[in-house]
Amino acid sequence: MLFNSLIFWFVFPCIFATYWLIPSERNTLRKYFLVLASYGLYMCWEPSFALLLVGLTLLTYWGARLIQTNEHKRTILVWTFAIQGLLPLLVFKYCGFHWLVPVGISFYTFQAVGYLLDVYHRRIPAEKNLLDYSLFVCFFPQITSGPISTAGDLMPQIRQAHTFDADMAIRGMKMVLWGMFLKMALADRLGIYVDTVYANYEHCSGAVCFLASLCYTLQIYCDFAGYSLMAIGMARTLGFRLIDNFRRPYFAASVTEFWRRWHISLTRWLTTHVYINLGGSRCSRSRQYMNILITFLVSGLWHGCNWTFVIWGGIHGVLQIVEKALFGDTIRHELQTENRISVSRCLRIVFTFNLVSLAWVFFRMPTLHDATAMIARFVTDFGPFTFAPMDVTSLVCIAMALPILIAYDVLHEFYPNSRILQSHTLQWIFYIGVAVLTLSIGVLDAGQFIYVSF
Amino acid sequence: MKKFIRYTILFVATIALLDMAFGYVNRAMEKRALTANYHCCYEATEDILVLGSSYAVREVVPSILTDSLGLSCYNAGEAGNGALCAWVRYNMFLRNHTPKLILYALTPGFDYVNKGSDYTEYLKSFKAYYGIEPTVNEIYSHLGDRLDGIKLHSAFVRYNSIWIITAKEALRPSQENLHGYNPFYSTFTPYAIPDSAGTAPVEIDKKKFAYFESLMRDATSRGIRVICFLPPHYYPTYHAQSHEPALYLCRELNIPVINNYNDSYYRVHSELFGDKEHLNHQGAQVYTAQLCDSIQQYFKQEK
Repeated sequence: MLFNSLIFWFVFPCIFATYWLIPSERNTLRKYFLVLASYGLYMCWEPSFALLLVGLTLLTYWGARLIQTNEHKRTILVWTFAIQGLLPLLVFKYCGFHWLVPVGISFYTFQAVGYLLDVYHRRIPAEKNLLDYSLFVCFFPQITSGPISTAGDLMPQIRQAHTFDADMAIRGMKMVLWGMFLKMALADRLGIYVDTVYANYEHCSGAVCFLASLCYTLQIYCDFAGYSLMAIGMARTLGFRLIDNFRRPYFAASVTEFWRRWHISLTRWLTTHVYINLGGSRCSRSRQYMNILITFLVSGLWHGCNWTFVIWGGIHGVLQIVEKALFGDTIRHELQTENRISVSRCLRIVFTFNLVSLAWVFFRMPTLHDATAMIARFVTDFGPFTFAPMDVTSLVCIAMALPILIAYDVLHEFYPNSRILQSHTLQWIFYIGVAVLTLSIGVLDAGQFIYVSF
Repeated sequence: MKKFIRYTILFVATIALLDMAFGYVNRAMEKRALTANYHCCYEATEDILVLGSSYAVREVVPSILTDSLGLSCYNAGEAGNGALCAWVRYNMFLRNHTPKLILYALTPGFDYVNKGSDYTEYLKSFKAYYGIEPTVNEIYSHLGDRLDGIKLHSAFVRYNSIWIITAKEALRPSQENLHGYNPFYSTFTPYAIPDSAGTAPVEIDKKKFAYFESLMRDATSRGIRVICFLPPHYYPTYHAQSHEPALYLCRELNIPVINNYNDSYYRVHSELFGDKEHLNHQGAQVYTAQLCDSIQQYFKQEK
């Protein structure tokens, strides 16, 4: 069920109330309830999807137990169970069954297989309690689009009996509100313009295509970060802390830094289970570069079976290799120190933003030919610039919402201790304003989140 | 938990109060902005009511009809909409006044051709009148989402994003003395397009057609004269088949149809068009005058 649908907002308060009405001494009952609620919400998409979820849960649960107890066969067992776990994902996404792909399969498969690999590498012990493990795989805030949690993060929280923390719940609701604003007031508004231009780019001037590519850069951030914030926020109201999935990625001053801020949970998964297993950085320089490239090609393929995703991943991999080769020490130093505004950093932020934006064209376009043709228009078609595909209403809506996003992110990025962010009254005014704007200028009847289809 | 509940109630109550205020302000703005919905619902007194899509609202000049026929006129057409909006505005109009003549711009694409089961775009035009005009509630219960009835209790939802245009019009009304007419002022530059007059079968959306039929039958049964018209196109794209269901109904109900769809005069006067399908202000004046002549002829024939 979509977080931005009205029906979800009738269901969620019931889940919230029932969960907290169950006494904390009856933690097992709470967990049963959460598993039931999670499956119920997931089955709203398509009841048969639940079979896959059950299958994957049981497979990885028993797989991990066997890996732990069979010391001499661990390697063969981990391969067997990991391949079996990944099999549905591979079949659905890469064997021409795109129209059948169960919602969130990439996310929960990676989470479950990640657990299996963590047990194999002895980062965590295998979970004995099937109920706890089931909740780890199916927890409803994150099942459709992540964040991809690790068992090390989430299992202790699942075992623990939570007591209600009002401040944590209020912070959670604020995140949900902000996420809704990003999705409905910005992502879906920008989406109207982006969809029109991308579908008819042959008839649009280079300037219009370029603007649309920038709009998509913002759209995908607002859409995905919006979803993640809602997921994290909802989990918080239930007493769970999920990993932050975004940290203002467009303020990154290098592509390397971008990946420390964008889809953090996937980056962490790929780093742990692909990059490090390939040898990571503890090998020759050329091997390290190859590891980076392979990791990002896997990242591209994770998004779908299309050359556009592979090229998108490849671009990010190559850019990071170039950065490492030319400015490795500077970037490493910068990642370890606090970000301060400087002219040089601002210029690099703008440059990185444009590089990332260019790569998004490959991500968004259906074919490589379309992607390259659109990029070619940036520099070959000097026709007139017009907002034409965007109506006045959408233009005004974006003009109202975008400065709020920029101000919010600038404040959190560069002035995190600002009084404005601490003031209780201002917080109230801000979130009431955000709710009012979401309702009055947001696209209320929009469809899915972009990442739900991955 | 008490703190959380207290904060939540306070937050929801504040939003609810702001929602009421938003509704009140919007209603006031609508009055100043001279919107078609507001006019039809509260101020209608005209003898001629023009209904239909952009071919009505952009191509029929009420002042010319008034001067030629001696009857006051209001143009309640809506761009991107057809029979659904026409049915609602017709009913809104009847609350105040029964018109003597209805001019209906036939647009098969919006009136009855099947374009999928999502009617959201059509319903948007009058969602602000949910709970005010019974026809709107009826249409929403028939074609809307099952949760629309709940959503539309909120003024934020009813006026979602349309408040921007209403506010703009309230501050600087562009509709003064235009009586609903919303002209195009641009001029079309012709370009070569492939002949798209295809032969694909036209699939009728029975739900939409039912509203079109209701409008025609209800108006004729009340003794209101109805005249349908097909305005000219620079590149006629619809094949004749798509017009057939409407023409058949018009024949059955004795409703005259003024057909200028393929009028050769307009095919050589691109300066009369704002785009390939719509007349600009200059074209609308020419066409409305032509429409007046045809209407007068019908009146004479009737006498």
